[in-house]
Amino acid sequence: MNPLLGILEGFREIWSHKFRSLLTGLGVVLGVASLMSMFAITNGQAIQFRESLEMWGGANRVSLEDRPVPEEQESIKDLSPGRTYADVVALKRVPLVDLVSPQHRLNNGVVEREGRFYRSHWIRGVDEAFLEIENHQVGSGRFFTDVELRNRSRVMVMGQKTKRTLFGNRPDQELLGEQVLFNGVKFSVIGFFEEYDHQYKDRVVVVPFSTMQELFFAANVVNGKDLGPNRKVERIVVRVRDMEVMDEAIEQMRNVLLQTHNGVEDFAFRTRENMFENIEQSVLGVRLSGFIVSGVTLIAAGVGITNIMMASIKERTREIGVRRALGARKADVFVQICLEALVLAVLGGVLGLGAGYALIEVVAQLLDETTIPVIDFWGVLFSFVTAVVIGFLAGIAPAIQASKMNPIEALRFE
Amino acid sequence: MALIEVRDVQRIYRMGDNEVRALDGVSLDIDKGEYVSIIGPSGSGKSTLMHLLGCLDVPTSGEIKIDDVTVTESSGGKLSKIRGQKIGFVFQSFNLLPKLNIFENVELPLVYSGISRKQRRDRVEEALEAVGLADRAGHKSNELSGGQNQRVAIARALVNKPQLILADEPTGALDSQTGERILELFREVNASGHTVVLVTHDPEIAEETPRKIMIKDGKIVQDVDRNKATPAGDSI
Repeated sequence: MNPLLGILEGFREIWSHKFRSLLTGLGVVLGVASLMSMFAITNGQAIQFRESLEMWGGANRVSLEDRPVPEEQESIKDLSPGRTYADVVALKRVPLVDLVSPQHRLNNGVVEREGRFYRSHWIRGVDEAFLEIENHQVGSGRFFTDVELRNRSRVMVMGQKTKRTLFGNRPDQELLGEQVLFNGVKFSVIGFFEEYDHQYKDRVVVVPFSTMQELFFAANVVNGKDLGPNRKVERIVVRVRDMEVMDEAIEQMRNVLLQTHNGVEDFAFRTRENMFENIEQSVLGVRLSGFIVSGVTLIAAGVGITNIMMASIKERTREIGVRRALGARKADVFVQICLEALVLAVLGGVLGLGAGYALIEVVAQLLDETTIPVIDFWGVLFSFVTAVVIGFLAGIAPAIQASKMNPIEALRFE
Repeated sequence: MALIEVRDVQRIYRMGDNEVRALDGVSLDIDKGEYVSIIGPSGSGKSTLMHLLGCLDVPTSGEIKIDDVTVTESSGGKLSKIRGQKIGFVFQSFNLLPKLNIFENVELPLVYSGISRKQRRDRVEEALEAVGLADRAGHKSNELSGGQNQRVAIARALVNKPQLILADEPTGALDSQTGERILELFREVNASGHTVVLVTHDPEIAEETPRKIMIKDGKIVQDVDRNKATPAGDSI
C-alpha cells in the first residue's frame, strides 16, 4: 500500500478518536516542549557564559570585590571606608596596573522612551577606561568627554539591541540627541556602540560614572538613618600590564589598598580562573538533568502510545481481518499501525514545538534579562526527532501484534 | 478448464491432545464460469473449505491450485496477492469498514493491489454502477440498509475483476425478499463471466445454483450438476 494513504488513514484514525488521541499525544507534547525549552535555556546560559568570558576580556583582568574581614580585624573593620573612588585613584598609580575602571551597576534600571521600556541590571555608570577594558567600540556618535564626566552630565551611550528595544530599527544618526528617561531622569543619547552580535554585550547601557553616583548612589541611608554621602564604588575592574606579573601586581595592589582601607583587609581580588571554573560544569549539569527529565517524559509518552495502540488494534481486530482478506499483506498491516503511531507522535511533536516556543517566551519573561533563552535549530530538530523516534518505537509492538493476527480468527472476532 | 483444483486436502486442527479433522480428504474441481454452492450443516467443514479456497488458510496436507498457481506452496505475501487480485469475498455480516465511506470501502482491494488513483476511481465507479449504488458513494455504511450494504460488499468483491467470488452465507443477515434480490445479483455476476461459490447451510439457497456440493463431517458426500447428465463427482 502507498505510504501516503497509510498516513492519511493514520490521520483519520486519530481524528475519529479526537479526545483519546489528544490525551495520548499530550505526553509527547509536554516532552517535546520541555526538551526544547531545556535546550533553549541551557543554550542561553552557554552563550551568556561565553560572552561574559569575552566581555571579561583577557586573563589579565582582575576585579575587586568585598570580602568579610579576617577574625583578628573584626574590632577594627569600621575603620575602613570600603571601596571608594580613592581606591581608583590609588590603583592608577600602581606600576604593574595598566587600566582601572570604576563601575556602578544599577540593579533595577529602567530606560523609557515614549512608552517603550528597557529593564535591565546591565545599566552601568562608567568612565573612559570602560571602553578599553571591556573592549567596546563606539559605532556612531561619541563617548562621554572628561568634561561631561566632571560635570555629571546626563548623557547615555547604548548597545544596538537596547536601541532597537527603545527606538525600533531607525538609523543611529537620526537618533543622536534623542531624550530618554532613565529611572525617571532625562538623559540625552549621544552615541551607540557597534553591533557585536552578542546577546548581552549588545544590551549594554552606560552613563558617566559620576552621574550615576550622584543620581542613584549618593544617599547612604541604613535602617532609615542617613549616614552622610556615600562614596562607595560598586565595582572596580583592573587590567594588569602583563599576565606574567599577575601575582606581583596583586601584591602591589593589596599593599596600596591596605593603605586606603586603613589596614583593614575587607577586599579580595577576583581573577578569571576562579570565576569561570565551575560555570561550564553547571551548564552541563543543568542540560543533563533537563535531558533526563524530558527523556523520561517522552519514554512515558511512548509507553502511553503503545498502550493505546494495543487497545486500538484489539478493537479493530475485525477490520484487520477484513483488510487481510481484501489483499493486505502482513507488511501492509504492520506499516499501517506503525504509521498511525508515527502520525500521533509527529502531531504531538509539532504541537510540542509550538508549546515549547510558548514556554520559552514565558521563561524569558520570568528570567527577565538575566538569562535569555536562545532557540537554536539543532535543539529544535533534536527535540522533534526524538519524538518521532519514540513514536516509531512505540508503534512497533502493536504493529507486530496486528500483523501476526490470523485473518480467519480476526474475521470471526465480534 | 479448471479454475480451482483441490486434491486430497486435509485440514486438521489440534486442540491440546485432540485432533479435529475439519476436512478429511477432499478433492474437487471448479471450472471457470461455474456457479456452485457448497452446502452443509454447521461444523461440517464448509467454512474451512471456503477459507482454504479463499487462501485465508493453508491445508495440513494435499494440494490446492487456483488459476494454475499452487497456493499450497506459496508464501504469505503471495497468498495476500492472490486474495487481493483473484478472489473477491462476500461475508454474511458484510464486513464493511464503518469509518470509511462506500467509495473507500470498495476501493480497498485496489489500494492493496497498488493500482493508480485515477484507475481506482474509474473502477470503483464502475463496480458501484453494476450493483446500482453509484449515487451512494459518499455515504457511510451505517446510512445504508442491509441489502444495500451487501450490494456494496459485492461491488467491493467485484472491483478487482477477480476470477472467483466467494460468498459466505451472503443472505444470512437479510430478510428473504432482500436476500432474493442479492441472489439475483449473484446470478448476474455469474452471467458476466465470474466463477461464483456460495457457501450456505440453507438447501433452498443451494437450489439457486446449477451445481451443489454437499459436505458432511469433512467429506464431500454429494456433488451434483443439474446441467450435466452424470454427477460431476463421478468424473474424478
